[in-house]
Amino acid sequence: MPYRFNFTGRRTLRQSDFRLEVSELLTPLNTTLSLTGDVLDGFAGVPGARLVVEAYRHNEAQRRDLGPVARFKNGSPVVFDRFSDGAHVLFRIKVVDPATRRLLALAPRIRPFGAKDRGGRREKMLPVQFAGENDRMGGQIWSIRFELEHPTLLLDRSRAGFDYVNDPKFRLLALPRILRDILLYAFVLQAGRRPKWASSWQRFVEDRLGVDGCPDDENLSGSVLEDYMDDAAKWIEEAVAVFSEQNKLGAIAR
Amino acid sequence: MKRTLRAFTAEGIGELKALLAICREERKTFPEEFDRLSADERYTDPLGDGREIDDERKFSSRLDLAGYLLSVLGPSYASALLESPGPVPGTGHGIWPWLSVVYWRQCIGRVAGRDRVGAEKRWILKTDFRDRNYHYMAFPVSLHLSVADFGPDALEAFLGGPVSENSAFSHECASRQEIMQNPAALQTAVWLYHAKSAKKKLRRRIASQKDPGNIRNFVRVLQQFGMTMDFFDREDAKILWTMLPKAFNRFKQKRIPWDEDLT
Repeated sequence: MPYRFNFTGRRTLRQSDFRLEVSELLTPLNTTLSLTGDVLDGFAGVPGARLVVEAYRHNEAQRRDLGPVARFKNGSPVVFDRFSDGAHVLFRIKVVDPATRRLLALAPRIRPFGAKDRGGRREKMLPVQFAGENDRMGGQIWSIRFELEHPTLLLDRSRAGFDYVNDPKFRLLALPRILRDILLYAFVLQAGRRPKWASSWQRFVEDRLGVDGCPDDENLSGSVLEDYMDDAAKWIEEAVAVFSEQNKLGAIAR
Repeated sequence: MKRTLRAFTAEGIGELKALLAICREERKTFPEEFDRLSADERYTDPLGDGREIDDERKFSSRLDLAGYLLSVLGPSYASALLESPGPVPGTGHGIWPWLSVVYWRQCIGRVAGRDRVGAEKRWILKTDFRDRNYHYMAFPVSLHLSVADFGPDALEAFLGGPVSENSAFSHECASRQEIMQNPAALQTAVWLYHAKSAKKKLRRRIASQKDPGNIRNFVRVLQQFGMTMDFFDREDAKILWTMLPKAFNRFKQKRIPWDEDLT
């Protein structure tokens, strides 16, 4: 049995002590973090103990200091703008004493919640790639290719030096439109024969954006079809509005 | 002469592999074959947006090379090309081997009077974590993107030396997440091992396993500190510096390094 010395009393945070979720949309890497009461109570009495989250992939890392543990609010969003998406990103959660630099607690190599559900591989909801020769862009800087496995966001290769992800105008103008186009395709154009990836987008809208009311698309005909279209359109518009609010797109416009 | 950027197709990469194999077998290079391959439209595709490079440019160091390629490609596009899956699985974007072939004369070193062609992974970018830090063109660009924020000393330490040589310092550091992911560790490594006046811009015997305070020792110390202490910001490098064990004394200069770097 291997023995490890732990002279400093460092605590190991276990998977059951926290929940870290990643939003899979095309924004800088967005996560939400929640800690159990045990962790919050355990460090609330330690003066100055701060909560820190680090995201890392290959040789790149970014840290976010979430402030004193005692004042941490569960479900707080944590944005890592150095990463455009969550593919292959792992996380470390630390509780540190900034005065002495001592590590009070550590959770290393965290795979975000949901990643293990698919055999340990995180699948992107919206892969991004430059348009190929066969993709007809017609001068547009972005377009969506709808495939069996997922929709793919295509970007104009001739503007490859342009920082799409961090450009505020692109985010302001394109992101709501991308979400609307994808939802319209899956839930309106393909009503009754939704693509299999539609369920993950429905989960995203319901769980992350908190917009319920996605209509059922069985037995669509006559007035049922008309009602379905009305309900789906309202659901989509509400989803796009909430998405824009959550991503503070209004602040960019001002 | 200015040339429009191109990228090897899957067939082009196959041709390059064959050419490298012949060079190694015959123990010599075939200049006309390298020049033909980089210009052959059967094996290369234009990159689309008409960017151009000067194929006669001589690079004084890997730093000069990386700076030039980044000025042509731009940081965002270069990052995207480094992450690209490429025409053949596991080989990255075809532009990187194409650039190696365009500047092949500067990539090939001389050993005992003979041309040294170098391993395939130095010409064709491997996407595997262990192998990708060997490429003549992609690795300097990738390092430049990672360490540029740490100032000219860091760029010199990581990218000093000729294009044909891969320094032990940059290779060891780039393969260690403990250093590359941690600004405090990276800054401390530069303070320890950079030497402005040296030809290769590095202190001597930093990779020797026999000498104390070498780069591998540094990684081991970081791993030990990582279990008990929390260092991350560049400012934390000052604390890390003072906590280093005696083995590193021969690399600690008399001056205090942060007087210049962190002002």
